[in-house]
Formats: sequence, structure tokens, C-alpha cells
Amino acid sequence: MAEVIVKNVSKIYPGDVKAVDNITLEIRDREFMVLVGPSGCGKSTTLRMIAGLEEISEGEILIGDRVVNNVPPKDRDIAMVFQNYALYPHMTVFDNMAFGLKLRKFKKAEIQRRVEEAARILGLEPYLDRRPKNLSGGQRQRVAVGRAIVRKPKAFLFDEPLSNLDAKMRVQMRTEISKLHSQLETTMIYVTHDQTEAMTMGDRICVMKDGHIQQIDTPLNLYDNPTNLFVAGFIGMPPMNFFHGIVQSKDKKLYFKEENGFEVSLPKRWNASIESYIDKAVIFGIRPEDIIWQSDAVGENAIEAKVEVIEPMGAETYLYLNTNHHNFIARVDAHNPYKVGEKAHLKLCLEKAHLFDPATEKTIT
Amino acid sequence: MFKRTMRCNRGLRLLILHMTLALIATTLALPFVWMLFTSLKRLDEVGLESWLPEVFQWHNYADVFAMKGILFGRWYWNAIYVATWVTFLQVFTSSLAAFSFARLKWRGRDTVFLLYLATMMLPGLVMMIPNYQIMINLGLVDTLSGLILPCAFSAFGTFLMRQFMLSIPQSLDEAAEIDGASKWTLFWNVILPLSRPALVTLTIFTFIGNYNSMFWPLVMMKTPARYTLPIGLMAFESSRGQQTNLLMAAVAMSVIPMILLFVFMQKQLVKGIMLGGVKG
Ligand SMILES: Nc1ncnc2c1ncn2[C@@H]1O[C@H](COP(=O)(O)OP(=O)(O)OP(=O)(O)O)[C@@H](O)[C@H]1O
Ligand SMILES: [Mg+2]
Repeated sequence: MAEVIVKNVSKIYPGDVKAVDNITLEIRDREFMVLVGPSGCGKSTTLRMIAGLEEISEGEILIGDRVVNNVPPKDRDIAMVFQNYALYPHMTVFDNMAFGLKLRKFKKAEIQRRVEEAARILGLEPYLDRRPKNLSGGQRQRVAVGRAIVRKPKAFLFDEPLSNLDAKMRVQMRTEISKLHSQLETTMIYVTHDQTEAMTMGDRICVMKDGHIQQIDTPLNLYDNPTNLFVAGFIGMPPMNFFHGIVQSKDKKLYFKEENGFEVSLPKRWNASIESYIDKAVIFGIRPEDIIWQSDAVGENAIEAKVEVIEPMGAETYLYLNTNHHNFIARVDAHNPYKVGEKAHLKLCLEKAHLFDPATEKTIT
Repeated sequence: MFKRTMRCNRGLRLLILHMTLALIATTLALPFVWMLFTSLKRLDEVGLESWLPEVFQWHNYADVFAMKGILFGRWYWNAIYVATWVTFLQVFTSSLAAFSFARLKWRGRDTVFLLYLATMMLPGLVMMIPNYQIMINLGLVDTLSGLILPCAFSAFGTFLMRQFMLSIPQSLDEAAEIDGASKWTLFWNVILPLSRPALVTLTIFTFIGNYNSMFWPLVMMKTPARYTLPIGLMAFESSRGQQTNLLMAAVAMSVIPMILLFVFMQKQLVKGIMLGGVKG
């Protein structure tokens, strides 16, 4: 049990590649922290620096109050699960899990006990004598997790452990790892590029881009209050719709006017923060579920758009729409009346909408 | 319909393939068969048209050991002794060097490897004189150790092992490192067992190559009791006139270790190919 603190850490790879740029991140004891971001944003690099597999160019990393910059991986009391499992192909499942304990000179009986316990937790008991090649992908990943838990480390590190599994297996393993976390009550740091994994598993999520941390927050806070355009677009599936336009003032009310398109009146409570943006360009963001259909185009913030694609998901339907100038997605009730090619009448609900500054990409409201 | 043609085609292809292979195998086996039959003939039968001996002279094999001036048993042992040591040392040193070249990071590593590899460009005969000079200095001329030592290291073996080790995923090293493995443990318990196919290949190449090697022993050895088989077999021809039947019996016996090695190692080779611990 330990907290992991990453303090002003940078990583510069040979050839002056700055993969991680001055990041600071505090992972609390027993927290499930997810690092998420697009490919190449430095998630793995950060995790590998915590593991000790990659040298830290600047800054320091603490695991349980101890600066570990110069501590080799085996003495950091961490365990890591790799994307490609990294099981020892020539060893049985039992030996794979026992290897780390043997090297640490545990007693035979203790090794036996721990491996069996891990096997029980992970449902691997029938496979202890098998070689990795005779296991399915999900089972292999479970062995990799087992190898980590037998050591009872201070922190678990996962680098995209589920990305080689098929969709169904991924969902199953996702819940299993979450359960494991509450069972073991250990600090876990989990890297993924999949925002669904991040949302469903993390106590907190750290969103990264280009070696910088964009935002660290709980899943719902990230979803509701993204600090910038990138986080707003990255978290959420289907993603948030963005519209370019300007803020206008008419009769003491403020409006967002999309470039040669629709107009929406903005909530009063935004007035203070957007006053300085009147007649200036902004980006308006609204999530697909905040666009609802109605029988005809009346009332405030109603817009019309052509339906281009309909994707029924069962419980709900995604409408891919076009305002003549702009594509966007609405997530509506499955039993809506529209067909492809028709005009849809929609209403924008602004409670959770956002405005972004196009220059800084920061959230205005 | 389409499927059936496919299957016919496949059957035909297999048939042609097998017949070709059988033909090649027969061609290769023929001299061997001739050798076996000749080794069972009387001396005056050798060279006659008939391949088969009139009466199988099994005692020829025992006679080889009893020939005067021919220390067949001794040479046999020397050859196996030298080849085994050379194989063991060469496989071991090559693996260690390959591990360093493939899995450890140090400055100038790849340059050193290229330089080492460049020594393969030198023909073996060029090395013979300097090697001999070194053996004189070490006082190892005319000893079995002198046969073994210069062959204990091999750029080719290192190259072969390195290329194989490069194909083992790097994440295994990292997993082992986190598991608490030292570099030696990583080498001995992870990388080496996984390199089995390359180890087997190198073992076969090295053993056969050294077991059959003639020039270096010819240069080095003076005392007949320290000959290895290839030079010993030459002595057969010169000292006893042409006893072709006995010579063939000796050659037939000398082939046995190589066949045994191959049969044994081939099984290992098949067993050794194990993948699946790593997805990639
Ligand atoms: N050994 C290396 N040498 C040089 N550059 C590297 C090295 N490893 C990674 N990089 C670079 O550092 C950046 C961050 O890489 P990193 O592997 O941390 O990304 P990631 O967020 O894990 O991406 P992915 O989702 O694709 O795994 C990338 O631009 C990558 O090209
Ligand atoms: Mg990565």
C-alpha cells in the first residue's frame, strides 16, 4: 500500500524526443488511477518511469515516501502487467507466477500457498500445469495478472493490458480487474487509450496529450467539466459536437451564432464569464445526449438538420445529422420517427453545454 | 466442384513433392549404402561389380581395432572428446556473447559486434599460422587442449545466437527485471531456454564441423596416440596399403556419433519451438 507521486517529471529520449514534459501527478494510496490519451502521448513512458524500466530525465518519483529515481525495478516493490502479457513461454502457469517469488527466496510452501490463492482468485486452478501457448488470450492475461498479485506489491502498473483481447473478453476482464482492485485494496496505475476503460475503471483519470497532463479528475467530473477542448472531445462516446461561431448580444441576451447557421440563446448564468467574448469567435460544444428530438421546430434553441445516417444501438439511436454546414451527432430515444434523408427537428439542451476559446482551447463556461 | 479440383491439385502437388524428396534422399543415401556393403566384403571383392558381398564379413569391424599401427579406439575417443569440448565451449561462449550483443545495452555494442563479425571474412587457413604460433607459446602443440582452445570461440555461432535472441520480445526482459531477475538469471533461466532451436542448430553444426575437421589437427598433432579420426583415417591408407574394406568399416563406425547426435537433437529441435507466451 503506498502512494505514488510523480513530481515535475520529464523524459527526453535520445534524439531529443521529449516524450513527457514536466508532469506532476499524485496517486493516492489504494487509488485506481487511469492514464489515458491518444497514441504517442507519453502514457507508457510515464508508467515505465514509475516501474523503473525507463530512466527519469528530470524530476523525481516517489513510491510510498521514498524517492525511487535510482532504485532498480525489482526493489521498487511494484508489479507490472504488459500489453503482450510477457509470460515466460517455456514455463508452466505455476512457474510463471512463482518465478518472482523464487527469485526473492520465498519458502516453497509459501510460494505454493500464494500461487494457489492467486489462481483461485483468477480462476486459473485448472491450468496451473499448462504452458502459456495452450491458453486463450484472456487466460494468458489472467496469468500475467496472477504473476503480479502473488508478489503483493505496493503498486500495480498496467500498460494497456486488455488491448489484445476481443471486445467481449475486454469487458469481462475490465470488471474483473475492477473487482480485484477492491479486493486487494492496492494502488493501481492503469494505462489505456480507450476512454471507455478509463471511465469505467478509474477512481480518477489523468488525461494526457503530447507529453502534457490535460486534466486529472474523477470520471464524471471529467465528463461534465472538461478543462479544455481536447478533454471535452476525448472523453465521451460518441464524442462531443463542436460548432464554430460567435457570441452575439441582442436585447441584453447573449446568443451563440454558428457561422452562417443556427442560433442558440445562452443561459443567463454564463453572462459574466462570456461578456468579454461578445462579437468574438468561440467554439460551442454540446454532447450528443443533450440534443433531443421534438415533433416540430418550435421554441427556443430548436434547430433543423438533415438525417444522414441512423445507427440504432438498441436502447438508443445515434443520428448523424447535417445542418448544411456542419455535421453532428445526436443520441436520441430509439423510438424516434426519423428516416435517412428526412429533416429532423431537434432541441439543444444547454445545461451541460460548453463554450471554448478557439485560441487557447480552454473552457470558458 | 472448385473445392474438389483444389483438393486434387493439392494431392498431386504432395505426390510430386514426396517423389522428388524420395529421389534426393536415395541419391544421398547410395554412397552410404555402398560404403556399408564394401565394409562387409573380403579385400579381393572390393571394386567388383556386385555391390553385395558374397559372405557378410562382420569380423571386419572387429579387425579394425586389431590392426597394427592403427589406434582406432584411441582416435575415436579423441575425436569425440575434442568435438564435445569444442561444441560445449563454443555454444556456451557464443550464447554469452550473443546475449550481450542482443539483450544488454552498452556503448559501442553494435560496432564491436560488426568488428567481431568481420573476422568471419578471414578464411580459416589464414588464421592457422598465428594460431599455431600462439599454441607454441602456450606450449599446447601436440595436445588435445591445443585442438580445443582455438575452436572455443566462434563469430558465426555468436552471430547465429544473436539473431535468434533478437527475435525474443524485449518485454520478457522487463518482466524478468521486475520479477527480480539479475542479468545472469535472465540469461540462464529465460533467454537461453528460449533460444533452444538456435542452440540445437549451433550444436549440430559445431559438433559435425569439428568432428570432421582435418587441417588443424593435421598441423597440430605429431604423436599418433593423439590423432583424431580424420587424420587417423589418412594413416589407414598410407601405412597398410589399400585395405579398403577395413577403411570402410572404420568410416562407417566413425559416422555413428553424428547420426546419434542428429537423431537426438532433431527431436529437441521440434520440441524447442515453443511460442505463445507473448502476443505479438
Ligand atoms: N525508446 C524510444 N526512443 C525514442 N522515442 C521514443 C521511445 N519510446 C517512445 N518514444 C516516443 O515517445 C513518445 C511517447 O511514447 P509512449 O510509448 O509513451 O506513448 P503512449 O502514450 O504509450 O502511446 P501508445 O498508446 O501508442 O502506446 C512517442 O512519440 C514515441 O515515439
Ligand atoms: Mg503505450
